[in-house]
Amino acid sequence: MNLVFQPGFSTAEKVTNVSGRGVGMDVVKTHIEKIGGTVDLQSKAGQGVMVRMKIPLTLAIIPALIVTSAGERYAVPQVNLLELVRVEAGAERKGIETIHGAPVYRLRGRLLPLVYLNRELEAGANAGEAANAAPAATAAKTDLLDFRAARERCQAVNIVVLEANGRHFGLVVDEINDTEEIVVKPLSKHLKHITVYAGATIMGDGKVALILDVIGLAQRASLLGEERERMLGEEAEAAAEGADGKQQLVLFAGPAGSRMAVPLKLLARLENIPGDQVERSGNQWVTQYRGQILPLIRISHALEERRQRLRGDDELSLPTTAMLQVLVLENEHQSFGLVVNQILDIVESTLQPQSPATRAGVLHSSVIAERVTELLDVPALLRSGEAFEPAASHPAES
Amino acid sequence: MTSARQFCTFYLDHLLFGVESQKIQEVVTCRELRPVPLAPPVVSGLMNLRGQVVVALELRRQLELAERPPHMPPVCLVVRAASGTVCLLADEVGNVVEVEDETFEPSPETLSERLRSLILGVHKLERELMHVLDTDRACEVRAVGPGPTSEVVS
Repeated sequence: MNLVFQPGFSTAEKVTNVSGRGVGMDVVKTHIEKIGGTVDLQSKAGQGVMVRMKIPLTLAIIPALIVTSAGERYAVPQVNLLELVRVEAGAERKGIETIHGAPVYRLRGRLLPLVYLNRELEAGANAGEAANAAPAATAAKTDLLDFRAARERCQAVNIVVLEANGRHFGLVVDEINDTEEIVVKPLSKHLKHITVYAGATIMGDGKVALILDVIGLAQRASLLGEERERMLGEEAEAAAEGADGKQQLVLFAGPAGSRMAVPLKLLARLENIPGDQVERSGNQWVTQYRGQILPLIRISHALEERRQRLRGDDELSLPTTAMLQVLVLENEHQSFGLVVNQILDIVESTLQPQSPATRAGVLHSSVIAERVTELLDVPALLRSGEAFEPAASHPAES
Repeated sequence: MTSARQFCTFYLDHLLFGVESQKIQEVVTCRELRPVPLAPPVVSGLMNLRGQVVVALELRRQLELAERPPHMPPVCLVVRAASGTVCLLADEVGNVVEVEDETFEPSPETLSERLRSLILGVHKLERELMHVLDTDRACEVRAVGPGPTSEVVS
């Protein structure tokens, strides 16, 4: 019975270039098995055939909210979704305001920037979407636009509150349909560069819907511009501190037995690097780390004051300890390792400056876990990291 | 070895084009296309081809021809190109023709450079010239900058 799945099995009387060659059922079987399913056939003469197909559900299925904008459906992944807000027509004036033309919505006392999906996508639509570019369609579209603009003014507004990279914003759509489990299909290369879409999916009625990439969308709406991002980082930091006043700190032993701390979220990784894997390049310690050369900076050198004292002392000697504990710091341009004497603990603590910094590279001192601890100024270190490698090599040249 | 090659022909704005029949997966009537906002103009939309999402490219736009009149429904040539399965929209399909290499002539230099990269040359058929399309190139989308190109805005 399962003979029909064999390639080249054919009962056709006439074989042509394209049909009757006995591959059809073979293709079915291969494809189903490729995705990990099974297919089985049972047949009773005169009664019919039963084909039993089992297809696993392990394809990329995500829950998504289906929304409509400009008559087309889009899927918004639930992971980015925070809440749905509907502003009724009458109350609209109260809720939605503008800051120099940029619409915002007052959500529980906080301002939520609004992004109109229609407008975001229409920015390029003149050329891009003119796909069905019959002039008639274009005319219809302009009508639609006017109509929509009018409706935007007088009708209820549906806001999908989304989160992208920690920043909240409201996406205004024409209609909120339903939540659905959707199968994510990748977009072809031609459309990969449009960051607004994460993929496509086929809806129950066989039509194609696009999946929105919330982060891409936010970037397009320049919600996540560079400056914003920095603000966002600071904001998030403030929020993290403000929320419960605590943040996670990595405590480590600084030079000469002092205690130092650095916020955990500023670190890329904590690493143990064996002493014999440290090499010397110029007069700097480096190590091979994930296929790249990671400059190592000893904490004692990173702090200006100590560096002067220790220079010439052990500047060139390789580490003697068997294992180095390294905090890997990263910015966009490079990463480097900060060699510390010993990583002590990770604690959650409030950060209240209790005394001002006594040296460069330190933000302030405060009492953490009952000991006076210096908080390392990581951004400053990262900045100086670029500058101070060449500086460190000067003494060797002279 | 006289190499005869099979071409699947189709029409675009009354011009006869040919694509190697080996590259054609199938020819289907055009279903509903899902337009993709922000996409380059040649991208007509996305099509559901038996559960596969396939991008449809407007050949008329790709080849800088006039826009297809609205009453003319396009046909889809589903092509296996280097960039995956792509659907090319044409006006009408013709026959499968077999041509000999002798009848081939490369595109003249008077053709714009971009078109020359898309049209390899012509086969001189008895009654007309069949333009040979470079399938892989035709299935590529020129990288567009942040601002969409406005060449097709009518």
